[in-house]
Order: sequence, then C-alpha cells, then structure tokens
Amino acid sequence: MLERPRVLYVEDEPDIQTIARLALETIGGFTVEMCGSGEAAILAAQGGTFDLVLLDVMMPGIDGPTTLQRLRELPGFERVPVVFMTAKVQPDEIKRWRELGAIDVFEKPFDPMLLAARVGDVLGRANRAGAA
Amino acid sequence: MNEEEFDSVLARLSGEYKAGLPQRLDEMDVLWARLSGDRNDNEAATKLHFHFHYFSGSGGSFGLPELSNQSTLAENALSSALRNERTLTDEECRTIATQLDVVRRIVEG
Repeated sequence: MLERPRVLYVEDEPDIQTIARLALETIGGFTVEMCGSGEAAILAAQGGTFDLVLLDVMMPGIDGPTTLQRLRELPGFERVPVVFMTAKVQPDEIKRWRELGAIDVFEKPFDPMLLAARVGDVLGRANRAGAA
Repeated sequence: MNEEEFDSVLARLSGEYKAGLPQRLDEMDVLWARLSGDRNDNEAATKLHFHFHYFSGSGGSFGLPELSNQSTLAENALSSALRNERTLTDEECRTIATQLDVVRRIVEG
C-alpha cells in the first residue's frame, strides 16, 4: 500500500487549520501535520520528513518568507516543494514568492472542496520535476 | 467519511466560524475607537489589521466570500500606513470606518 503524502501546513488561525485539515485529509487522503507558527514549523521539519509544505505568508512571529528561508537551511529540506498561502495575490508578489523558492502561490480564502486537488497537482508537478 | 458526512462537518465548522465573528467585531470596534482617537496608535493599527486580514483570508472558506472581499479594502488601507510607518490619512480612515460597518452588516446577516 502506498504511503500517504505528508503535508506540513503552517497557519496561525485555528479556524483555517481545522477546515484545511478536513479538506486535505478527507478529500485528498493526505497526512497533515499542522503548525501554528514558523518557529513550530522549523521544529517539525527538524523532526520529520514531508512531501510538501503549505505556508501562510503573514503570521505573528516569523513570517512565511523568513520561515521558508530557515527551512531551506535544514538538511533534506532544500528541495521540498513549498506553497505560499496568502490573502493578497498581486502579480508582483507572486513573482517575489517564486523568487524566494515557492513552487506555487494559493490564494486565501481557499475553497475547501478544491484545496486537496490543487495540492495534488503541485505534488505531481514536483514529482515530475524531480524525476526529470 | 462520505460526501453527506463531509458536508455536515463543513456546515458545522462554518456555523462555529460565524458564531465567533461578533466577538471579533467587538474587539475591532474597541481598536477602531482607539485608532480614531490617536491615528499613531501603532498597536491598535497592527491588531486591527490582523483582524481584517483574518476575515480576508478566511471568510470565503466558510461561505462568506463578501466578508473576505470587503475586509480586503480595509486591510489594504491599514497595510499601506503600517508598511510605510506613517499616520493614517483621512481617506484611509474613511475606508476603515466604512468597511467596518459593511463587515458588521455581513456578520449580522
């Protein structure tokens, strides 16, 4: 039996955590580890392996872009695909997030019925890029 | 979990989300009163910005897309002043006051 893809979701708002977990686990069949801050995400990344990271841009404490930079410094995390989640999706911001190393940018609020499919698409893209 | 059960859980989560909104709005009213009295109250501006940001990023996921759309206008007004470390302009204050009323009407249904 294939192992479920493991997703690290970094989001400070409990309401959004709950609905995202529901969508990703129930619809997508992913295993989700939820972190409420960038600091917690770095600790989780040190203690586990993940196939994808969903990372909120604006959080108290260290923000999403800084969290990404710190994650990239961890052994084994250099190439893990990271998707930024943000309520503000302007073209120049998308360009900036991609330059920081994000594979994609998802707009918030997300549709809980579609989130898992979008994550699956990104994982497929990342896997194809890794195999190439 | 089948589709019916999923929809049921989604409806429950949306209900819980909506039930928590009035308390947030009360906190936003207090913050706006502070900021109206002192446009340089950076703490009030930052906290109010986080509330609008929360609405912007979550409303649509819980069946309230207009809450997201309308909150974004106030969030942008606050973002601009906070990012540039300057006092809110008259126009930005009007935007925040207006959008706070609009958001309240959405929350109150």
